[in-house]
Amino acid sequence: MKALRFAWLIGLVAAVLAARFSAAQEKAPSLEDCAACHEEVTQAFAGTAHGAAMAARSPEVLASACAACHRPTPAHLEEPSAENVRRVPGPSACLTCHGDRLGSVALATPGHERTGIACSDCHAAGHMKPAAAEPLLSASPRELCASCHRAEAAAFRLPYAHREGPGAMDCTACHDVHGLSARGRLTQGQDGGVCLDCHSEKAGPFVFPHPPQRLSACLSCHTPHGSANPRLLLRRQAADLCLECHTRVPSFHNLARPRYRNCLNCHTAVHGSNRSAVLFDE
Amino acid sequence: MGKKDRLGVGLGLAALLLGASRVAAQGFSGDVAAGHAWLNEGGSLSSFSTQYNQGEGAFLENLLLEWRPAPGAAPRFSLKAWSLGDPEPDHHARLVFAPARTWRFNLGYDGRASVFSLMEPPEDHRADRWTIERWSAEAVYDGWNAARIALGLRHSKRDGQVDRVLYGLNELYPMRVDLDESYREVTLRVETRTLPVRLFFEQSLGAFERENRWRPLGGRDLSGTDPDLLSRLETSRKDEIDVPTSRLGAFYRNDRWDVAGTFLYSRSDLDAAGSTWRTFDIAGGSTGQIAYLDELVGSASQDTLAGDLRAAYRLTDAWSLRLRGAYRKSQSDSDLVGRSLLHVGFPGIPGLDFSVPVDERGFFDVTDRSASLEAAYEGRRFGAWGAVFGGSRAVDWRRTTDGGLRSADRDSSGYRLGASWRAGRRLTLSGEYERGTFERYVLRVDPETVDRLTLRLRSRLDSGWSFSLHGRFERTDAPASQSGLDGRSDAFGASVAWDDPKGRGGVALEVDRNRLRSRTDIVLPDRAADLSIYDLGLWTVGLRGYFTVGRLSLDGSILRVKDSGHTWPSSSWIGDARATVQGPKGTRVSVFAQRREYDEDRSSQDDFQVTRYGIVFGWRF
Repeated sequence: MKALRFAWLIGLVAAVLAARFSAAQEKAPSLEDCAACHEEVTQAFAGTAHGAAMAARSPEVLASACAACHRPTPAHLEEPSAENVRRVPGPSACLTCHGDRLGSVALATPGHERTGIACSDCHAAGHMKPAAAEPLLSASPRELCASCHRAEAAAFRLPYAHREGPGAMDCTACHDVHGLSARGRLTQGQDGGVCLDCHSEKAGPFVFPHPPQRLSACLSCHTPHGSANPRLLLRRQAADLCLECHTRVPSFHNLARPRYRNCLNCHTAVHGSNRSAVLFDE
Repeated sequence: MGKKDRLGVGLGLAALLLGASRVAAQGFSGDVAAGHAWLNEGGSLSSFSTQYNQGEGAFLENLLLEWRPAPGAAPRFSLKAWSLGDPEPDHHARLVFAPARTWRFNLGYDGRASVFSLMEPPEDHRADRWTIERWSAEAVYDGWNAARIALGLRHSKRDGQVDRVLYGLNELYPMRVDLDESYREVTLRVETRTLPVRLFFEQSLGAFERENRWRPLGGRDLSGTDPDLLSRLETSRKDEIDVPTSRLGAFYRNDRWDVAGTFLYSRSDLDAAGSTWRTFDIAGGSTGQIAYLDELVGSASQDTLAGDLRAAYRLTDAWSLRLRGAYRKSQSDSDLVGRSLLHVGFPGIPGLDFSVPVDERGFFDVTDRSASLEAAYEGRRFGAWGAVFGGSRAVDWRRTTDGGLRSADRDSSGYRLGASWRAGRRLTLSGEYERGTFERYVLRVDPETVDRLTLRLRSRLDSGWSFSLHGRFERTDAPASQSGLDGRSDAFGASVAWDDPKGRGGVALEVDRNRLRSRTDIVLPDRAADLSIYDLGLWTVGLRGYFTVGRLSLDGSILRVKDSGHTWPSSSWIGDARATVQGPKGTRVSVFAQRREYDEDRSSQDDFQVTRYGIVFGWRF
């Protein structure tokens, strides 16, 4: 009797293990499997930029596309329902393939993580129609960023502004949402480094550096997105900026004479000079 | 863009259009749109150019050409260009060529024409007119499972003219700088794929060159009354900077940990050599001549060592910790040697030379450290976080050999508290308060405390409606013993938008308010105490919409910006409207109109009222 019970127990364990093993061996449904019910979506997806990029990597990647993001359970194949499939995939689904971005949003932009901004808030799956902007974005970077960063978006509309537009002056031209890109080199090497990507003549080093340029970079005197003041300055008159730091200006600077009211008339090399300790010229 | 460029663009476009119809059946597809713009200007055109720099003439609005080996396959060749031609200040082009799955080549071009010319007092004479062209190329090999390798090249060049003033003999003389600045960079980047810890290594070598040239503009001083003339102004200066930079990064991720670290080492070397001649003819030359000659050789080197480590650890499904630490040390040494020569000449008498040797040495060292620790809870609907952070900055510098050694330290600490609540995409609320306090200061205007409160509400409804509210309130101050800084910034606004779920139309209204007030104690050159006051009071109201009815689509926007602050009140209008009719066989025609107005309360010299309109023909094939 004891042996019989033992045999039953062994059999039961074996059956459970076999069932689990067989479940593990079950292949994830392919694009073709999904097409049985979702033909319109799968066909359209294969023709989109996302599908084409997967196909370019390998046909197997494209074949596993639906399962990779939506993770249907075996039950979904038997009895399809929104409960046994991930209708809206979470960020981890995207990172399955895009983990090689060498930085996750959680580290690069913790503010997005804190407020629950997910990949799908900006990126379109591109199932049925082409994405509005690259890379697979549901709208232009400016529109997407402006939906939360309203004050910054408004600044771009001021009279003197980096006029936003596709390409060079989209938000993503300076800001890297995902982390460690080539721009990291500029920002890590120097505060304000990303400005110097275009304004490389102001990068230095200089024989006579201007301390604010070295310490706070461009933001000591300029506002980056847009300003009511020419040259995106923080003050209407450059002299106000200068006098807020410089309290020992020699007294021969007679402000009653117009020529002394604009420091930049003579001190032209405000970003640093290679010839003049008082920044007279570059 | 010059005449040759325009001709090139025109010929290229014609060849493309002719060829496109023949190759469309061979896997090519694309879109091309070109047109003409006209300008009706009123007021100051130079002020308009400073703000917008849009013009009139023929332009290529958009060009897309793609080739796919099979329907549904990824494009092997893609050429995009937009905004080419004189009427637009920014020009862009991108080319992607992927001859095989493993190789990809990217080529990019961005050009910008910049103008700065405002009506200012004569002694503030300054006018810029320059272009910057930036080229980039990248070759990517993606054929290994273990790694990906990319070689990138960049080249940018700025040329044009800057008119400014030169101070000499106690007068201001107008002068022109002919710009010749270029930057080249090559970068090699390797990223691993299959190792448990993903790594990347990046080595770049940048080289900057400046060979700007000077010349006098007319020779007379700005007032036109001084009899002395600036008869010669020349320079042979050449500045060269080499910047090799090495960067190493590592990233590790598992179910609980996200860890990323980067390390950077860079050394910049400057060589600045050349002579400068400034010659003044006293009383037009009848009395004599004074000439200044500088023969100087300068050099500077800057070593930068930087590293940061960021880690996130998920304690449970809802709780996580984030840690960040960063370090950067930048040391620069510089010297300037040579001589300054003063030559005084009189008619009929041998001239006198006075030579002064120049031997200046200085340095500038900065060390920054910062760290933060944050705990965050992220539930299904509710999230909360709190963080403490701190940092330090140490600066030592000596500007010249005779200058004293200066040292300054600054420590900072602070905390951040925030919470968010969300109901899917329908409603997201978040609020965050941040406070930073600082001990000692490096720059006089550095604040002692900074308080910042940020509030956001965002809602997206399935019916296509969305709305948002935002507010950011910031206070900065410093004690009277330092600068007496008192800064207040209040920015808040709202937007409401509706987009037809089928994409046939939409409308959005945005209202933003930005009030910025700043007061700083200053000391005037005569030692009198005074205040620097800045007051900005902006209202920005924008309305935009788009609608498609059959073959007709309309889109437009209108924006009103009003600054009622006391410093420099002004107002502006920006309006855009466009109508497009789809024709047969992928063709379309668009007409557009733009209105730009700018009005300053205190002066009308830089005001403008400009209407720009045009027509664009497009074809998708």
